This record gives sequence, C-alpha cells and structure tokens, in this order.
Amino acid sequence: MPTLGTYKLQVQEKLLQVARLVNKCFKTQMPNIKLQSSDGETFEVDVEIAKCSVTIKTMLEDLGMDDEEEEVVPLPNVNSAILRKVIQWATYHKDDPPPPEDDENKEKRTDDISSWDADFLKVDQGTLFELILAANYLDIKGLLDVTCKTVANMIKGKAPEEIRKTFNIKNDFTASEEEQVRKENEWCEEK
Amino acid sequence: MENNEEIGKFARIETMLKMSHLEQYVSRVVNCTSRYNNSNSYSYAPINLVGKYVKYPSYGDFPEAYFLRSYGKWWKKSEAYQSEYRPQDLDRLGAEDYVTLEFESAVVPRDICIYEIYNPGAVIRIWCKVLCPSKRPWVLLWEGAPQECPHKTRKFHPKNQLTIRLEVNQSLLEYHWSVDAVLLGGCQPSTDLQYNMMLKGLVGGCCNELQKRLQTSDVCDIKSCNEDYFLNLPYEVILHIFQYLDLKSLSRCAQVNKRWNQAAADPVLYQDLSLKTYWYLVDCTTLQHFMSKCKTLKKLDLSWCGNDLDGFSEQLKLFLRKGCSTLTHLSLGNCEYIDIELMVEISLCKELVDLRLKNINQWLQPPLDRLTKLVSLDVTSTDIQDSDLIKILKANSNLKHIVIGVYASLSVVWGELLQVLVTDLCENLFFLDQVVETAVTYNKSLVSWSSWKTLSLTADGVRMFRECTNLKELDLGWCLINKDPGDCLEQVAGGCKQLKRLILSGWRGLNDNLVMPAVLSCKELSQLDLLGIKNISADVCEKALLLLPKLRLLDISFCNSIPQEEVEIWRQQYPHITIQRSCQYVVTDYLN
Repeated sequence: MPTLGTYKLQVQEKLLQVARLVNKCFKTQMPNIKLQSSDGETFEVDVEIAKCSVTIKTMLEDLGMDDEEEEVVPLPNVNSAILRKVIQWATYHKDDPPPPEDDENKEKRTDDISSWDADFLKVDQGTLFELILAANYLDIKGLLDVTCKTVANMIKGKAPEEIRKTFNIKNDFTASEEEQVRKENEWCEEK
Repeated sequence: MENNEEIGKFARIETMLKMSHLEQYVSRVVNCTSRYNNSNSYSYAPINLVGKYVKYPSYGDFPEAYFLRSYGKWWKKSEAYQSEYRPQDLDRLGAEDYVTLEFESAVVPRDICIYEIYNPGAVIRIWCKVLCPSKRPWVLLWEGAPQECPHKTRKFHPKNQLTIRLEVNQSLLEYHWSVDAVLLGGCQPSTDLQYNMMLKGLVGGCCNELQKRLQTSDVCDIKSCNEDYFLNLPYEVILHIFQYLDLKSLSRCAQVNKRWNQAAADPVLYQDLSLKTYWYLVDCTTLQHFMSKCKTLKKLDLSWCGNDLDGFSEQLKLFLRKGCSTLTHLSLGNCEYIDIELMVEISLCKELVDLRLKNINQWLQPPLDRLTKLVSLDVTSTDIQDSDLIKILKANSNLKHIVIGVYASLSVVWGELLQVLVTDLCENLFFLDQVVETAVTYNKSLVSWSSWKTLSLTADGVRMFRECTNLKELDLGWCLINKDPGDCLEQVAGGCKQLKRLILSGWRGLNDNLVMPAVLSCKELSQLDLLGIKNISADVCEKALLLLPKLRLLDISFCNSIPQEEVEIWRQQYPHITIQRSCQYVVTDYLN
C-alpha cells in the first residue's frame, strides 16, 4: 500500500509534468512579426510563415530581430493588395517541404500546378505580374515558380502574333528583321 | 460512317481521276524501336505484321503476331529507364515506340485498318511518307490519345502512300500489345498521268483538313490587355519563365520582339536538348539552328531523328565536336546512319556518363573504351561484341546500369562506377559469361543489369552476380532457355539481397526448389517474372505472394502447371499485386 506521502509526491510530479507541457506549448507558439507594405498598411504574420521569404528571413537573422521587440519590417516594393495575396499563398503553403537544393534535376513541367494554386492565380495580368515581381523581390521560390509556370502556359502553343496580342507587346522588328528571324526559326513550323 | 466529309472528298478524287480502289496488307517492316525477340526468331517478331491476319478475330497472346517488349508503367519504374533530357518537350501523347511499314503499291490512302488482337489501344499516331519530293516527307494522317480498351480484338479503323509509321504509347495497357496485320486501302493510279500527278503531290492532299483542325484548336483565351507587363520584368525573371517552355515555343518567342529574341537565345535555355518529339521536323538546318544556340551542351537526345536525310550525319559530327567537352548525356536511339566515324566522335566526348545507342545497326568495334566516366550504357539490339563490351567495362569501373538485350536505360547518377548496363537482344555477344566476370571484377557497384534474350549466358555466368551486392535489377529473360540453371539462382539470392526486379522468363530448367531461395532471401522484390516456366507449381507462387511484402508484379504466363482457378483466387486475395497470365480466346467460325 502506498503511504499518503508517496501518493502526494506522485500527484506533485504529475502536476509538474502538466505544467511543463503547458509551458512548452506557450513557448512553441510562434511569435508574430509585422510587415509593412509600400502604401503603409501593416500585416501581422506568423514568423515562420514570413520566413518562407528568403529576403525577410535574412533580414531577421542579420538584424537579430528574433526578440520580443515589436519590430516592423518595411517592404517598400510590395503594395498592400499584393502583400495580402502573398501572405495568403504563404499561409496555405506553410507546411510544404522545402524546395530541392539542386536546380539541375528540377522538373521543368508546367502541367503540375495544383488546383488550389491555379484558382489562386485566376487573376488579371497586372496582378499576376506584380505577384511575380513580389515573389522575385521577396525571394519566395515556390511562388515564383508557380507564377512563372502560369505565364509560360499562356505562351505555349501560340504563334508570335498571338503572343504579342496576349501580352500587348509591341513588335519592334523592321520588316526585313522580322523576315530574318522568321527564317531562322522556320524549323518548328509544320508547313 | 463518322467521316462523311472526308469520304466524300475521296470519292470525288476517285471519280474525277477514275482511280481504282486497292486494298493491301503490309509487304515489309522497315524498322521498329521495340521488339520482343531476336531477329532470327519468328515468334512475336515484327515480320508477323507482313501479309494478311492469321489470328484475328481470335483474341490473346499468339506468337504469330507482333509484340512489343514493354507495357504499362512498369518499365518507367526501372532504374535503367531513361528520364527525359528535356521534360518541357515531352510528347503530349507520350509516344514511346514506333514501327514503320511498307506497302507494295503507292496509293492515295483512304483508310487504314489495324488488327489489334491483344490489349488494344496503344496507337496514338499514324504517319505516312509522301512520295513527292518534300522537305518534310512525313504527313500526319491521324492522332489520338492512348486508350484503355475492353479485352477483345479491335479492328482499329481511323478514317482518313506507301510507307506508314505507327507511333504507340503502351503506358495504359495492362499487358503486351499485339498486332496481327495492317490493311491499307486507297486509290491506285491507273494511268501514267495519274501516277505522275501523285508523285508531284497533286493528288493525295487529303490530310490538309485534318492538319488545319489540329493547328487551330490551340487558339484560345486571348484576352487583350492594355499594358506590356514584360517591360517591368528583370531579364532573369524572363529567363525563369522561358525555362519552362518547349523548344517550339522558344522559337516562336524569338520572333516576338528584340528583347524576347535576345532572351530566347540565352545559352542557359539550351543546355539540354531533346529533339526526339520533333523527329518529323528535324533536318540539317534544325541542327545548325541549335548548334548556334548551344554553348554548353550537357544532354542531347536525337533518337528517331535524321534518318534518310542527306548530310545529317556530317552535321551531327560537327555538333558533337562542338559539344564534346561538356556533353554528359547522349541518346541516339534508332539513328540508322551512325557509322564508325560518328562513333569515333562519340568516343571523344570524354565527360559522357549516360550513353544510349539502341537499335544502331552498324557496329564496327568503335573505340568506346576511350570513355571512362560512363555510369549507364544501353546498347540494346546492336551488334556489339564481347571484346568491345569487356573493354568498356574495364575502362569504366563506374557503370551502374547495363542494357545489352532488348531493353535498357538509367537515370540516377551516383557513385563513381559504371552501374547500369543494358545489352538486350545483342546477337553478337557469344561469351556473355566473360562479360559478367569482367563486370563483377571491375564494376562491383552495378545496380542494374539487363541482357534479355542474350543467349550465350550460362549458369556459371549467372552465379557470378552474387558478387554484385548492390544489384537491384537483374533481367535475364530467356538467357537460360534450354540450359540447366543448377544452383545459380540460390547463389544470386545469397549475394544480391537488394534485388527489386528479377526477370527469369523462359528458364525452362527451373522448378519450385530452384526458385524458392530467391523468394526467401530477396525481401525487396517488387517485380518477379517467371513467364514460361512450365515446372513451377502454385506452391512457390503462393509463397512469393505471401512472403514478399513489396511484390507488385508477378508474371506467370504460360506456367502451365498452375491452375487458372488458383490465379483467380490470388487476384482476389492480393488485389495490390498485378498477376499476369496471358490468355488465348480462339475464334474459328469467322467468315473472312
């Protein structure tokens, strides 16, 4: 039979365990940081989510902004509308495995865009290209890849004139230059 | 009749020119990229495509018809499988193989009938070679996605001159695809005038409509916008977009404007080049075009390209010479023009790790032993000789995958030793035991060995594989067809614990006791092929199904001691394992 004393000890020990667990939970709860867009809006974001941007990650590490101080990270190249989209994308993808290091064997296919991403990128061209610029500036590889793939899919299978129309591109070739590049690239035309 | 319009047009030509209708079967098989058997065998051979059907409308596995070696997705899972060098340029219908057929009389094609008698559904394109002089002699008659079809014979009859090429994609098939015959119907010129008109391409323009339809189908969702957002993109981001584009699209981008022209010419985009998908477009000027773009060429796949083109081999020589210091991967499957001079150029590409020379006809002891960094070598269906191979093995103590027989390939490069060797269907290997001896001495890190139907191997040679403890794939199909295997399988099983794929088709000397050691020791086995072993019973199969947790494919076709009822029960019991058992449904009362 356990004495009352040993019983007390056991209860104490259990309580301690619970306390430790609760403590641990609080500690692992991620701190937020604030990101400020070019038009002055601030967004509170989970640090781990913000760190999917290599630019922000390096900034935080270089400045030692890991502490409790309420720092605001200014992002002068990204407006609030785009930053909101970027955060939405990063939140959805926060548990993705890190991208493979070697660029060499990376899949170059464009038919592997997830349906969530495809829906997310059903936006006008202006937004799509601003997202590309933001992903490039913030150095978010996954977002840059999927936005660039989307644009690549808009190019694929189109004739030069159709490409110009799609993206409102001005043809700056002279007639003779145009004829020359057409000749150079003749191999791919069926006729 | 689904295609009245087209038929109407043909009828018009017919009445206008009073051509006579002619139906004819294949007179000659010109070439093919895949076959099941050696060239001296008639079973399952391409030659069975010649003449009228002999088995149709019977359905099943008949040696009197043509068989391809691979089916389904099993081959793509192999260590030796060649991953695409430029995945951006993957064929959208996934062409895997082709067979080219010749018909005796030139006709304006009217319809074509393919008698598929086992696992139909693989044909994805039908090409026709026009007689009139043309820069692009191959014309597409028909294309469509691969299909999953019911298990019965199919008279494949897509509505639509002399040479027809069938492109196939077997990846959706459950088992081998088989064709009994191909019938071509068309209008035959009955006067010299008509014949000359046909030679000049004045009749037979039947495919234009179809082609037009193919080309315009892609024009969609062009929304105009008011701003050129590309102007804001940094050059490297444009490159990032362009890296996802196929070569055809890149050539079109080059014509958009000056900035796009510059970006689309960046050498970074042309490190890996694969023109196989565009074989019907590729000529000497295509090679010149890309030669000027490739500054640091790493991977080059020109399989299927350049046949019957004057000067192509010269142009390729120049290309290889230019890229020789950087080229690491080279694939030239079915390039019939490869001669000793080209082989010498290949042997000067010292950085090569992956070399694939499937179905190359001329093989005059090329100095390939100058290559010392090979990790993977595929010489399927070539005339490579034992001495050549032994020299290569000695020079490349890194070879990882070797395909000598009918099949071959590798993709993963690791370690510093040759790891893959494929020598399927090589008929000039008379001393394969010596080759194995060399391999196990110099290439201990061998991962994949394939010598399907390479008949000079004996049980002594097989026994030596026990030294290769890294071996994951061993394809020795038909190697020991009429020889006593002795204890060689036990030896292999004792040494090669990591075996995942073991192909022993046609080893007629095997029995339950001789197969059992492999089942007991090789716990990693996922593919086991025991096709045609008449003496094995249901016992050893049951053990394999029960004891091999990773087993996914078990081929027991023509294992006549195993009752079919047993197989049906296993299929219920082990739904995650594909159990192959070929069938024959003979139909005799058929009115021809």
